[in-house]
Amino acid sequence: VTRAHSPKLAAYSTLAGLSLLGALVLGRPELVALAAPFVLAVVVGITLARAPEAVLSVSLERRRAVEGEELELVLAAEAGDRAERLELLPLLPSGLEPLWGPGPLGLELRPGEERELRLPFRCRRFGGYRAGDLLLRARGPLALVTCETALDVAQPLKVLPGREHLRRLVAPLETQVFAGSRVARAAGEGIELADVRPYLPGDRVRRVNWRASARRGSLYVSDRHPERNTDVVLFVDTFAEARHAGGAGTLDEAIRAAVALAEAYLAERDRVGLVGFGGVLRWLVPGMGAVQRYRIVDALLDAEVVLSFAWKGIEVVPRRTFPPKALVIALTPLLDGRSVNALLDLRGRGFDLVVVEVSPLPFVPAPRDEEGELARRLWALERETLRYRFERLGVPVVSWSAGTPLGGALEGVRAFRRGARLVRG
Amino acid sequence: VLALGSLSLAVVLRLPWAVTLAVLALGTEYGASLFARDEELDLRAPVYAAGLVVLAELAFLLVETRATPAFLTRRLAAVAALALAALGLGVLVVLVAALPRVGGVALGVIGAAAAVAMLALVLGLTRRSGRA
Repeated sequence: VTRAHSPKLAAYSTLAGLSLLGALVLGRPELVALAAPFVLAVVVGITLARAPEAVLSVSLERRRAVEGEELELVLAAEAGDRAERLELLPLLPSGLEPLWGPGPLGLELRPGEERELRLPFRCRRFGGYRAGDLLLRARGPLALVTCETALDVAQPLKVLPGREHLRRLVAPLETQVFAGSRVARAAGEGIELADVRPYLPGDRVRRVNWRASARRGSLYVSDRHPERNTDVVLFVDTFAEARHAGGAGTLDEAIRAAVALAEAYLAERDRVGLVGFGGVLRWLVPGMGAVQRYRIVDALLDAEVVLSFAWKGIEVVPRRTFPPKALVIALTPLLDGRSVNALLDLRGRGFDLVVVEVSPLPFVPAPRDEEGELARRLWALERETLRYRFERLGVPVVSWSAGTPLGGALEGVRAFRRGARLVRG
Repeated sequence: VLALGSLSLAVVLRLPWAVTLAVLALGTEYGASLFARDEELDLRAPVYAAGLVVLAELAFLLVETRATPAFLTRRLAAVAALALAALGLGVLVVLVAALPRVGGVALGVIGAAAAVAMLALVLGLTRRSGRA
């Protein structure tokens, strides 16, 4: 408990002291009479000030919320044997915005009374938080002395990024062997018709295409494409980011896109893995289902840019993280050479790679003079060259920035694939 | 004028230090008026002191807290009690002062010690708030 005095106590003490001195110097007893009530107030205020006895607990309406959602912090207070007038100052981290107005909250309790306060707040930015630390303040009589206690009663809260519903996803070039929702290139047992061919010994009778057989006079069978799942690895570049001071940045947007993609692919019964490639390396081996979804979201909430000068290549990532024939979707601002080289290396190893460039341009301040304009144009040209390097290798690079639909950028990937040819030499 | 200005500033902008300034200005003004007076004892001193403390309490109440009606009622009752006690104490002081002078060095030293103790309290509080 910290005891602090109010400005009033200093004012009263100063006035009383000066009055008493004035009384001595001037020989006027009236100044003693002037000082007397202030001395009385100071003595009463200091001696009767006590620490609060109320018991407080904090709970949250839910432990998980989505960005932009409003939640309630529930404060339960129980007074001790005496009446209390308390001032409560709930402390929220910067990503959570209080909606109960500025300043501390007043709470008056009769002896033994229990009270519950519901305080709404808005989840402004995704992340893992501890919400609900409290500063509890009780003023003594005449509010001359304040007793303040910091209560560590915070509850964990996970705010998930607001996600975009993706109608169409980028289909992988190759599928895996497990059943899923994607039509495989290979022929086998499935629904989609692949081909009609003459009957061969060993073909099952149920595969005979009776209509084609009747028309041609000999037995024909239908080949079909089986439905298979695929492995998708989300590659989130955490080496560098562009960010407004104290505001959003490219990593925030990359995380939002990664969550949207992970949920969409998992809903299609694909296996989804995650690689956070940066100063701190994080990875999740591809998996499927609700548990994997929570694992990915939790890993993404912890993702941050950690400054590192160490040279890292793709060989530092465990091999199981990139299964053969996996579709790798990279979410990167293309600002760090190490990430660019790692992606080119992945492509060189034959992975089906898609680069979603989280555009840093909205975060770059406008040039102030002619030299600045020239520098910006040169930088834009360098980035264009970098994109061309990827496209020459058959890697689609689509630029996406916050406020535009991610689905539109993915459509760009499909359009590129329709006309893409690998350039050799 | 200074006291009135500070008080208005304090109430409008919710500045506690402006209330302090106003109270000190009023106290100084009263001391100066006593200096200008003749030797006659001012019997209105307890009323002035009680009025000043009530003014200070109400001004701080307005500036510092967002009060609920129940709290306001309790606080006003406390201020009224303080004003009555202050009036009684002031009258007692004035009555003692009106008695034939029996003062001497000992009483002077006690008075000086009380004044110094009060100033020491102020200094101690200021230092503590500086550390906090």
